[in-house]
Amino acid sequence: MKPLLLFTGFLCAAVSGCTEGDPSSVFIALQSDFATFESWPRYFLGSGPLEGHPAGARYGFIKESAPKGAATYPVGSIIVKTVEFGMTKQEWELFAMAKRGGGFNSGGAKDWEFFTLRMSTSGVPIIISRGSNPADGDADGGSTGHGYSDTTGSGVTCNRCHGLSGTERQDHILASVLAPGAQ
Amino acid sequence: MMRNSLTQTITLWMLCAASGCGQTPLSPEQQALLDVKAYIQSNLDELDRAVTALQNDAPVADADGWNAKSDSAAIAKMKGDWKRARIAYEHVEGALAVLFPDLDASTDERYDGFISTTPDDYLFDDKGVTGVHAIERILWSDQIPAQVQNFEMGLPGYKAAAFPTSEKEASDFKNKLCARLVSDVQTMRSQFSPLALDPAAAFRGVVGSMNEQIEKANKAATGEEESRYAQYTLADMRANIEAGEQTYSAFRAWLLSVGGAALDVQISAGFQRLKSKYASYPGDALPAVPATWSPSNPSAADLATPFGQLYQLLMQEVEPMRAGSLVSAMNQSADLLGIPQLPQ
Repeated sequence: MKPLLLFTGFLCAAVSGCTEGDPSSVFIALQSDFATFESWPRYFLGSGPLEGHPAGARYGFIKESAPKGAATYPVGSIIVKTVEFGMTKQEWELFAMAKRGGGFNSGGAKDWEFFTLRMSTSGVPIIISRGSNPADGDADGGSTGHGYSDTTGSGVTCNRCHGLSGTERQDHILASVLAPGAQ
Repeated sequence: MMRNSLTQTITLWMLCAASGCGQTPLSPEQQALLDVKAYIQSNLDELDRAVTALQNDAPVADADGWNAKSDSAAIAKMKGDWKRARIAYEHVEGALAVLFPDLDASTDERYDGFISTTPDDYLFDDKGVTGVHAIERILWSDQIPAQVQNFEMGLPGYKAAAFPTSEKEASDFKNKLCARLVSDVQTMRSQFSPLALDPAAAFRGVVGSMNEQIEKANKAATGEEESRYAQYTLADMRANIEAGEQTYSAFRAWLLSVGGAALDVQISAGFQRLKSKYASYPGDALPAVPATWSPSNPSAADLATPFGQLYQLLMQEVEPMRAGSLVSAMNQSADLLGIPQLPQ
């Protein structure tokens, strides 16, 4: 059985990218990783005006909480934020952060990748854009244009707030209720 | 960090096959994902080889840098390496740019895109203006077309392109600028290797290849052509269409298995129309853009030119609401396969 176990370990790393324990592991989120976000634990974040976001009730969804007392989320963590307004979910503004690791976004919210999403007509969250500074409405997911930087058209980028000096104390999560280890 | 149930299915199938239990065939969906993955990985391998050769072929630094006469053989070799790299990247950019947005920018951003945020006065290091077009701009610096020069000279923060003229510049070109490209490519290659694609990510390579082409045509029309120094943008577009066709071929059996035969015919015909048009032009450069070209309202005379005909065909094929267009058939295929579509 030993060779098979070794082979299993190799396949695990080769096929799924499972590199637990490897500090340099990287998580590249795909659309399917967001599919069930509405079933994740949900936290009310407020409904007052917030720079860089449209008006509306805001909720945070955490895929998996960081361990109690942890100072940071592990690589692979995902947080989705909804701004819920309008008659249908297709009108919601959806933002997300995924802990990518590997030093990604080192000039801002280190290790976090930002996303803008939108609900399809069939209620599936679709990645609209992604990166350290995703574009607003870049319908090909960022494959052209290379790195525009305004998610809302308001001139406020994700890193402008999440990458501010001092935000690393909460792993760049601004809402205390979503901070690592706070749930 | 087991990604999803599909990954688990594939892993279990591979384990089962390796350990000798029954030979369960992969479903058309599983096979499509594995084929797309293999296509991207093989092009990343080729890209890595090409950019590594490009760095290795850079002349050894001497006191006066390079010149087109005494370093002509090395420069020609580097230009060949660059073209290999370009084709490999254009084969996978539609898929990779989505997964590696920041590395796509450092690898493939145009000169004007870089300096629109921060000027770069020193073009040979690994900061600011980097990637394939930064290297292209230096390698072809003695052959930059007048219209490209005119366009760039009007940009705030413009710095003229030139060969390295000192030992430091030549050394930095090889050990910083080229090394950064090698490092960025190797990062993408190594991080892509363990990734299990989902259908949406894999199918992006089909639609993404079309987006790449339309962007190139639009940019050319405004003087911002992509491979503008080497006059290689048509070769880029041929690589895009090859990539789209190859990636689509991975989905073909799956599409046929769900009753998509008519869409398959439309898609194949669409690829053929574009390939035939691209093949009708000689060389690697886009046809000249007419001096009176207006992207928003091109005249009949301008649309009758070789560039106008190419532009017109491409616009028709990428129009999602136009019955029979290539992108319309691609989108209908995605619906049939249950791959969620971007909201309109």
